[in-house]
Amino acid sequence: MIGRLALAQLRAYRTQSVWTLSLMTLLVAILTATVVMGATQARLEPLQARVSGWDKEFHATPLVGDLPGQPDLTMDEVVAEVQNNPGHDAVAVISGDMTPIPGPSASTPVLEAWRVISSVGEGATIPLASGRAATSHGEIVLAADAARELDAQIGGTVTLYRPDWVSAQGADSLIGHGFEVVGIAASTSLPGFDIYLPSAYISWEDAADPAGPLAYHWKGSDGSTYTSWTVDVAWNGHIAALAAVASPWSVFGTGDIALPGASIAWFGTAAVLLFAMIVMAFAVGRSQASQRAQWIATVRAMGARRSAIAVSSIAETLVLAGVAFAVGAAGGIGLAQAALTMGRLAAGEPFGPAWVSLHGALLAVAALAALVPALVIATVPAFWASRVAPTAALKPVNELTEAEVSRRVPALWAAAPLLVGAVLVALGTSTSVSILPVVVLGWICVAVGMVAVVVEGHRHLTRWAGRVLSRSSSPARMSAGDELTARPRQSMAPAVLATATVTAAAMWTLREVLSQASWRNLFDDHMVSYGSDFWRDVFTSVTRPTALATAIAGLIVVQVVASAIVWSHRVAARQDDVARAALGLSRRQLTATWWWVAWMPQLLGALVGLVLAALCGFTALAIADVTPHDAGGIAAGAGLVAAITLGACAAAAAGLALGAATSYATARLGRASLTGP
Amino acid sequence: MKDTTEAAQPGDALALRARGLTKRYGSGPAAVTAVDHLDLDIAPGELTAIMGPSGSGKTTLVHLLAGLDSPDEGRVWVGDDELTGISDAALARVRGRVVGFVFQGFNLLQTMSARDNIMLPLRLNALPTDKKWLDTLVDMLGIGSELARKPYELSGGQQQRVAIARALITEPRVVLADEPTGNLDVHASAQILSHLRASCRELGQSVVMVTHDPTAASYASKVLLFADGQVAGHIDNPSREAVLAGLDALAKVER
Repeated sequence: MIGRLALAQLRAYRTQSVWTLSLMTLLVAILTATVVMGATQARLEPLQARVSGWDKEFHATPLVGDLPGQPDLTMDEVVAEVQNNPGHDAVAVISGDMTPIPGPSASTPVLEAWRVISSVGEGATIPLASGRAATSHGEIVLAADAARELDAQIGGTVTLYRPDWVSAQGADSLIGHGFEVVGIAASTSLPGFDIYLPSAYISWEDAADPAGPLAYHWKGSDGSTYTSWTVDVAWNGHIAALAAVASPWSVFGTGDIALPGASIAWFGTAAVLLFAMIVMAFAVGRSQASQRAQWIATVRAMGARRSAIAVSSIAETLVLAGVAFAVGAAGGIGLAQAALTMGRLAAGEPFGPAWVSLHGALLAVAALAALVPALVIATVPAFWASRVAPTAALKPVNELTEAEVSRRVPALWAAAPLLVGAVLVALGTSTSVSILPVVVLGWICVAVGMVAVVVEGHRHLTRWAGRVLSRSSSPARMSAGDELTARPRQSMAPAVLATATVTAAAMWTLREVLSQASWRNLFDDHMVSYGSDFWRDVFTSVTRPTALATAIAGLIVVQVVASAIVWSHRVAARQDDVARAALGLSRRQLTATWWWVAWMPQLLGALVGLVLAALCGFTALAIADVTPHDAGGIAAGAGLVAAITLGACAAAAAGLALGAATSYATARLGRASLTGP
Repeated sequence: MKDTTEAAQPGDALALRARGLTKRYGSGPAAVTAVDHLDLDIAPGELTAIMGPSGSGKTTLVHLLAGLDSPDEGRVWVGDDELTGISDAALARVRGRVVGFVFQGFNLLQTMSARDNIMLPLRLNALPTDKKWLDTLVDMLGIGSELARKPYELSGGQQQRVAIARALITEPRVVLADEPTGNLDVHASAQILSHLRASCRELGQSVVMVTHDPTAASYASKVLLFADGQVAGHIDNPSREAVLAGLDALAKVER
């Protein structure tokens, strides 16, 4: 019977079901796509590692050359060890940077570094797309994108340049090396995945030549010139001579799933969506229950127990979760495949397989992605539904408004976890040995406390805004004020979402700006330095387009969910709308009313978000010990502050502009379908 | 076909009994006593109408008699089952098997067919389907050709007849009807009231009906006049005029 009840509810509340199903499917699809991309990245990595010989059990970077002192190995010894130990998959790779300058754009004096490699042994593979490997002096295989940049084809010639380190001790003097192109290899990158392949492959004969393009020349204090190479040796099993200079090889160890940087956008979107769905569950849950009150009360009057109602509500959402799992997983795989196909098309000569990899964890992630939010989303309405009294099926004796039953959390209760968390963190870190569980528990308490404070704060704020609006002389604003005050739970939810997104966007901007400043400082001493472990250790391969995509996707997700919340608010307030229409509010004024109801919380949320971002950002800057160390520091610091402020304001403005548009659309759509004659 | 000769007759054990029933809302000076130390006996096979002005406590009384709400004082029995002081699960069982409901707004589940709506209480309470009893109800109420339809495809009168069948399908000791004709026209109301009276006479059912309509009350075998949470009087075998006179007298007493 519970199943029948669940199905009956699904049919009866089709619009809500479709909303919930769509959001859950989107979440499953995004997370599935992320995992599939991760599995594909993991499959690409050993192939990528194989190109440079990085896929071996052991690795060494011996000092090779005739430098003063005692080099680890001579070049002849390296070659002998690699070639005389068959079965160990041994390989030696010489690598160095060259540049195509003057290249295709001679007017742009940018030193574009191309990684050029050469290998000897049996443990490396050149990802040839056409032609053959470079085996003799003066031969080169170019990556497809490099060949495209130079407009080079097989049989043609190219010149690559190498700094003359001995004469210039810098990059000012370049020595050109001419090559004949004998092959074209896979492109250096695959958009959407972290693939960094060499731009060119030359013969070992050229690479190992002391006068060749990959040799370094040094001038000693006695005036003599020395030669060295950057050589990586890698092998499996035991080779005594190499083991003496070996180090454990862990940096490039690959797991089952290695998330490419681009998938951060997917993850970010999924995180925003999940957060928004949880907020929506709490905001919509009660109105969902009150809409179903008569339905539930009728069934209860006929003998259904509270538990049956709660279980059927959960079962209803689990049915949605099942559908979301099936559709979302398939959609996610399709999304990832589309991303790979587009990446391959963009790459020209793409590296790796044409089809995405599926991983065992995929089903688990997709199932969890459907199940966990489904349970969260289902449990809240189920709890409220089970509390509907059967008397609601008869004539209502006392109809409680949302404002009356929406429980207020005392300020002390909201702040308590914050205080407890702060104490725990202080206790956990005060001793010489950090007590990790206490610190973790402390941070969890702080997070819970912050959420509670933000939620309670927004509840007060939206009620205050409602009271201010209700004093307006405009009928639309007056009505909007009443709505904001009457249903604080639904009103507050879009504000919380706006605050969270604006704060996150502002913090991200801050991190990006600091990260850029920090990296520029590594290469350009004229830039200001921001010495900070706090920020520097968050290095990722996330690019600006990725961050921008995340921000846009996040904004869209927030708007979709906020619209769903406002829609549910409007459905719950349908009788109020009918009453307003009867009292003389025109359709235009009703649209304006709901525009205010939808947009005002977002405006408040965005403003709070800016304040929070400023507080968090400048606190972090203070903790991070900003140390501008040159004359331009203060000016650069002011520029930094301006950038952060602009970034935050841009995020808020974009959100508000989008919010205004979606609010209008929601208000218009709602007017068409909900207001009676 | 149900054997109606076995149905309880007036004079048997009471279908519904209340003693000292009291329900208050609010507290302090704002407290309102909706039902005030009420004693009530409903005999089997009777159609009892409860009438009274708005706010007299009629709906609260029905809530209490059905176990939908719990009294502050007093006790309620449906047959031999006492409703006061029992768990939510036990109350749910009573509501599912011992009491039937007919609502003013019909309260049919729109996504289910008329047949499924009628069978819903059986399924909710894991009771077996008595095909003969179902046929008896369907024939008596004249909804045999409507069973496959959804509620929104039926007229108001047809919907209420489906709701009556739903209320009777579990063969409850008592059916509680809250303004069962409140949303119907005169013709449909007459049909529904005839069906309710037939269910008492032919099936031995006890029906307690809250109504504002003197015509509806005239179908009852007894009218209880309710005021200030108490039974202020009663009319046996009422006519419409007698009910109106009783309500007039009640209004004068209140003034």
